Amino acid sequence: MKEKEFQALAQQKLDGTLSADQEAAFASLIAQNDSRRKQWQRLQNVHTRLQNPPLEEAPALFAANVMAALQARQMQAKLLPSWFNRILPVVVLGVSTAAALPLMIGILLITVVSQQPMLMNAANVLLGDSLIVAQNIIGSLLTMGVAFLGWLLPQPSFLMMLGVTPVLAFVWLRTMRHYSPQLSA
Amino acid sequence: MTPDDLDLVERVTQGDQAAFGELVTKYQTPIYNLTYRMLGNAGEAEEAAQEAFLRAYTRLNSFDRKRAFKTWLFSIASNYCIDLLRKRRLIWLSLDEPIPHHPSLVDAQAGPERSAVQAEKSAAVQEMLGLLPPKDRLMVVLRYWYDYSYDEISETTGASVSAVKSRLHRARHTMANNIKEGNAVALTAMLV
Repeated sequence: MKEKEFQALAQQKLDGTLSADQEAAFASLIAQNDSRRKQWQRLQNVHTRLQNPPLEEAPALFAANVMAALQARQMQAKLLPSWFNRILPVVVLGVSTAAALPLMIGILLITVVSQQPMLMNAANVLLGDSLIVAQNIIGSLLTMGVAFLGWLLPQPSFLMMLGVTPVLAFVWLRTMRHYSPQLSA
Repeated sequence: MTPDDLDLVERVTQGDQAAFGELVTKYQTPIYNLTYRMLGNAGEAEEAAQEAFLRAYTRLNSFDRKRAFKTWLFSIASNYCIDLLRKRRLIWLSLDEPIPHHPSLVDAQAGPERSAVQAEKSAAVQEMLGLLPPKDRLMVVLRYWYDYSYDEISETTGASVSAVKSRLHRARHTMANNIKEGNAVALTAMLV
């Protein structure tokens, strides 16, 4: 007899739903087949042990705690309406994009200027120390921005960002040192 | 659904929180027992049972009145437990490892009325359940603790009747093998 058939018969036997013929066939099987008999005895053993299992009582004051939690949630819902939770990610994304956009434009401009010695010299003449200050501010903001982005993302991405941030900061500083006469000096 | 439950559900949907309190009182032990059997930890079980009731409250408008309230509530609680177990699967114990006794199982605060024999039986049964994967465990709990039919288990878990039967057989088989192999050494002695 195949395992599936035995399984079905054993299940019915445990449920007490075997017909007389099936009962006889099952009895004959376990009488003749030693491994099936042992298998059946073990299943029956588990089944018997699971009969009338102990019920774990709910702790005292459970119902009162549920009602208190319900009221707390309702209070919270009044303070923070459901639309708040829906709109919060949009606000966070909007604010971070609004903050990141000028930052990215600034980074782009300074990078382009830094790549061209002529433009860099012109910028140094025009802006002087302000250029260095701008570079440093943008570098710091870039680092913080990347860290913030990492914070918004799930944990593995955050860990990745933590690794990427110092590399970006290093590359940024190297670039600035290379092209900025003041920093190189 | 029993008329009592239907009546209480209707009252809750009309804003009667006391009616919800009655439902909680009525089903607190079955739900707590279910979460306890699934999670094997008194603290987590209490939190999960509480969350199940709160979710039931917030979703009561979507409850199909043709279904049994208890089955619906059980499906919320069991889905929540399976989610929790999925989240902690990284620390899930393998079948080869002995299942640690949770302090709550031998906690003296569980009630002076509970005899030592009952506590031991409860611990032994929990140990047996701990050997099973979450979905198989759920089938066993619904079948043996609540005498659910295969159809009722199917309705509660969303699995087909044949899947329920298959999982139950596999669960019994796993438990039987583990008793045989001595993974639950103390189990036999405790249950006899």
